[in-house]
Amino acid sequence: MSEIKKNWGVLAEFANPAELLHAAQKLNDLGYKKFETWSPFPIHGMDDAMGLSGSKVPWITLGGGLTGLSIGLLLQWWTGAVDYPLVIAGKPYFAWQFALPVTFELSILLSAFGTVFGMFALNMMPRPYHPLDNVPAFRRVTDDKFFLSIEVSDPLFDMEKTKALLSELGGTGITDVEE
Amino acid sequence: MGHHKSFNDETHIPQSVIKRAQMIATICAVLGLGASFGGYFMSSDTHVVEQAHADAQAKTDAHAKTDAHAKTDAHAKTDAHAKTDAHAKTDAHADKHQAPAHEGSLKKQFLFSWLTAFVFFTTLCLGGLFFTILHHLVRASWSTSLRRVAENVAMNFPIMAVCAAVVALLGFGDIFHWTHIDPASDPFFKVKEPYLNTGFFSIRAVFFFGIWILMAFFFRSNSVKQDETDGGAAAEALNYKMRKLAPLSMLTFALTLTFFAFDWLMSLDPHWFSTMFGVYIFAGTAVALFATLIVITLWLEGNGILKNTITIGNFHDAGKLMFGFIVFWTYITFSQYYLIWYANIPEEIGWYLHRMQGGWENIGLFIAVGHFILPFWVVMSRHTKRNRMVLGVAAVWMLIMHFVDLYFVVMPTYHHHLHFHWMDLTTFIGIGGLFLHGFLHWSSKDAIVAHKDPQLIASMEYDNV
Repeated sequence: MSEIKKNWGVLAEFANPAELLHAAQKLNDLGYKKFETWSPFPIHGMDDAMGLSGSKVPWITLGGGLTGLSIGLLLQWWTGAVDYPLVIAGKPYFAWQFALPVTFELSILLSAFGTVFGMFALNMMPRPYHPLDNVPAFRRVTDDKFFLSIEVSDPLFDMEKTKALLSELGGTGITDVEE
Repeated sequence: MGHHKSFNDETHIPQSVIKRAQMIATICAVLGLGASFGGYFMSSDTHVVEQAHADAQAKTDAHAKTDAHAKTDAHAKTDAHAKTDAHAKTDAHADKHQAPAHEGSLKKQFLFSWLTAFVFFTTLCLGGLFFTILHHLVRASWSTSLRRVAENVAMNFPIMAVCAAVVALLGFGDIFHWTHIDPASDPFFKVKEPYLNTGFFSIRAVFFFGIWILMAFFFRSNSVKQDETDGGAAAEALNYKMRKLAPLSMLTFALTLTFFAFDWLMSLDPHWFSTMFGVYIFAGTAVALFATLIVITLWLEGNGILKNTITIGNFHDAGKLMFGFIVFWTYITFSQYYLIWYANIPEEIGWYLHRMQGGWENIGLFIAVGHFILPFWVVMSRHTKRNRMVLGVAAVWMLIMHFVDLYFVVMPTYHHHLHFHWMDLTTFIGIGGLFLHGFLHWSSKDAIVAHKDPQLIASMEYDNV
C-alpha cells in the first residue's frame, strides 16, 4: 500500500555560487516568490538577488534588550528599595550607578536570547523533517554543492516550463521533490 | 560579485579644491590664533606664576592636612559614619583644593583653553596613527581606500609638538601645579614626585612626540613609495615591511598614549589617579578618529574625488566602527566612574565630586546623553550608517562631543563653576586651522589614495551583506 505522494517542488543543482546567484536574480526578475537557494556558506549579494526584504530579527533583539533593561532595573529597585530595604556598604537603597551592571548584563542576555531564538522561530526551527530530505543528492549542500528549489505553490509554477527555465539557467540534475 | 572593479579615479585632489580649503584654514588660524595670543599678551595680570605659586602652596598645605584627617578618621572609625565623614571632608577638600587661583585671568584662561584644544587635535593625530597601524597589523583590505587619509591626519604631530611647546613655554606652572608642590609637605605627592617632576615630564613629552612623528613618517613614506611601484610584488613588499613593524608600533602607541594622558590630563589634579584613564582617553580618540575619517571622506566625495573608490560599504564600515567605539567609550567611562563611586575613597572620589557641582554636573549629564544615548540610537541602524547625510551629521556631532568630553576633564581644574570663555572657541579655531593646513599640505603633496596597493580593489569591491 503506497501512500499518495504530492509534489512539493523541484530542485536543481548549480555549479558554483555565481551561477546560483544569477539564477536567483533571474527568478526574482520573472516574479517567482516561493523559491529558495541553498549553499554551504553565505553568498554575498544573495539577499538582493532573491529580492528578500530586511530581516525582522533586529526588532526581536531590540525587544529582548528593552525587556532585559526593564527587568534589571525593576528587579533591583523592587528588591532593594521597596520589598526589603537594607543598607549595604553605606549605599542608597537604590542608585542607578550600582544598578547599571546587572541591567546591562540582563539587556545583553535577553538581546542574545531574542536574536538566537527569534531567528529559530522565523526559520521555523527546529524542523525534524523537510521535503528536501527525500533527495539524497541534496545532502552535499552542507559540503560543496549549490541548489535552488522552487515550490509548486508558487503562482508562476508550471512543471514543464519551470523545469525548462531551470535547465536554461544552468541547473543540472533537476528532480521532483515529494512532500 | 560578478563584475570586477578597477581603479579609475583621479589620484590627486585638484589644486582648486586645495586652494579653497587652504584659504579657510588660513582664516581660521589667523583669526583664532590672533585673538587667543592677543588676549594672552594684552592681559594686564603679569605675575600669574608667582601668585599661582603662592596660592598653590597654601592650598597644598590645607589639602595635605585635610587628607591626613580624612584618612585617620576613616581608618579609625568602623561604623557607617566613617564613610560620611570622609565624604564630607573630601567635599571640603575638593573645594579648597580646586578653588581657582585666578578666575578671570586671561593668561590662565588662555593656557587651559589652549590645552583642551591642543589635546583634542593631538588625539585626532593619534587616531590617524592608530588606524594606520591597525590596518597593517591585521592585514586589513577594506580600509585600504581610507588609509592615506589617516596617514595624512597623523602627519600633524609636528604641529601638535609646537602647540605642546607653547604650553610649556608660556605657563607650564600655571597649568600643572604639581610643579610647585613641596613633596615634604604633601605625603600624597611625595610618592609621585620621582615620576611627576618637570625634568622627567619634559623628557617624556619629547619622547612621545618624537616617537609619534617617527611612526607617522615611517608608515606614510613607505605608503607613498608604493605609489611609484607597478602595484605588484614591489608594492606587496612595502606592505610586508610595514606589517612587520606594526605589532611593535601598536604596543608603542598604546603605552605612549596612556602615559601622555596621565601626564597632560590626569596630572592636572596631581593627587588624583585612575588606572583606567589612558584607555578612557583612547576610547574617545577612537570615536573621534572614525568621525574624522567620515567627515574627510565625505568632503572628498562632495568634491568629486575618489567617487568610484570609496563605496557606501566603506562609509557603512567606518560608521559601524564609530558606533562600536561609542559603546566602548561608554563602557570604559562608566567603569571608571562606577569603581570610584563604589569604593568612595577620598583620594579618588574628589575628582568626580568636583565635577558633580558648580554647574559641571550639567556638562556630565550632557556628555552621557550626547556621547552615548543619542548617538547610540541614531547610529545603530544600518540605514543611518548608509545614509551619507545622517552619518555625516553624526560624525560632526561626535567630534563636538569628544571636545566636550576633554573639556570636562580639563576645565573644572581651573573653573570651579562652569564658565565658558571665548578663548575656548578661539584656541580651538586657531589650532584647528593649523591642523587643517597640515592635513591639506600632506594631502596635496601626494596621491590621496594608496592607488597601487594590491588590496585597493578588494577594498572597492567590498560591501556589507
